[in-house]
Amino acid sequence: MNKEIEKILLPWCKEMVEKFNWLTIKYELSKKYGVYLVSFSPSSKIDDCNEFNVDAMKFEDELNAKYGSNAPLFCDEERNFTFTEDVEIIKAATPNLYVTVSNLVDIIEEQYIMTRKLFNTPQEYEYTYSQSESIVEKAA
Amino acid sequence: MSEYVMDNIERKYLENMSAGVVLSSPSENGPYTSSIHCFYYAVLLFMKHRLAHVDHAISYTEQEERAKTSQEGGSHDYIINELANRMITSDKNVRVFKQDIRSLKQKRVLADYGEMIFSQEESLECRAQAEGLINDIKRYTRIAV
Repeated sequence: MNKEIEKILLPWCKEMVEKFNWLTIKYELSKKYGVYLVSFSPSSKIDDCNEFNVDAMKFEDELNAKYGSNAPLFCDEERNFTFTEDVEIIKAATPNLYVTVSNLVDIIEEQYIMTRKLFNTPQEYEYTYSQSESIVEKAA
Repeated sequence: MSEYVMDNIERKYLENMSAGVVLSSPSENGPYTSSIHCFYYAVLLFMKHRLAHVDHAISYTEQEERAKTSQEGGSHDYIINELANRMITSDKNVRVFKQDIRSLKQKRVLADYGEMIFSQEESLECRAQAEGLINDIKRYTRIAV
């Protein structure tokens, strides 16, 4: 039964992450429940996307009608269950490259902090940075 | 002002909820697994009660007729789907409601027929899930005037 369900579930999951490229789907065949557990995230995006909610509900209803108590259990994030280390994760092959200004500032700050950690002191960082700038200027 | 008279389905919903609370209370080797049945049936009975009283209601008799032609899971799904169709809220809230009741239903099947033993923590999680579902039903459905 679960093999049959997997053949329906996985293609649908792949189709969904291509359609909604912000979507991450986690799934696992649960030893505890004896059925597939499937979760969608992030909930912040799910809240804003009615098309996703309509598509997902239709699929969840169809599986429930067809397989009854053998149907997968679905939830957003890990609201109703938690996964084990056997969890599989499906994401879009081409991640969403749309970056907001606030995201960009966060990324630059993160890069700056990571770079600073490579040096023992702020002075050492500033000296190395000024040296590299002058090398670039000379090369130009 | 007329006095509100509780019908037997509503009374049984409250009895199941109370029994579940008693069974989930701390005790040595507490019958926590049995409490799951009570919490699930409390929600199911509350759904039946609400379905018989919302706009475009389905009477208990009609619900029973439909139940006779369904397997057990089928008759429960009928109640869940008919009530969900009458919810006045977003598609997301309806979807989450169905996910939550199906999760509790699955735990009830495991508690009643499976080998799994539920801990007190798991019993209390089911209680919280049942209370959350009842609150959602109250919020998302409207009693016919």
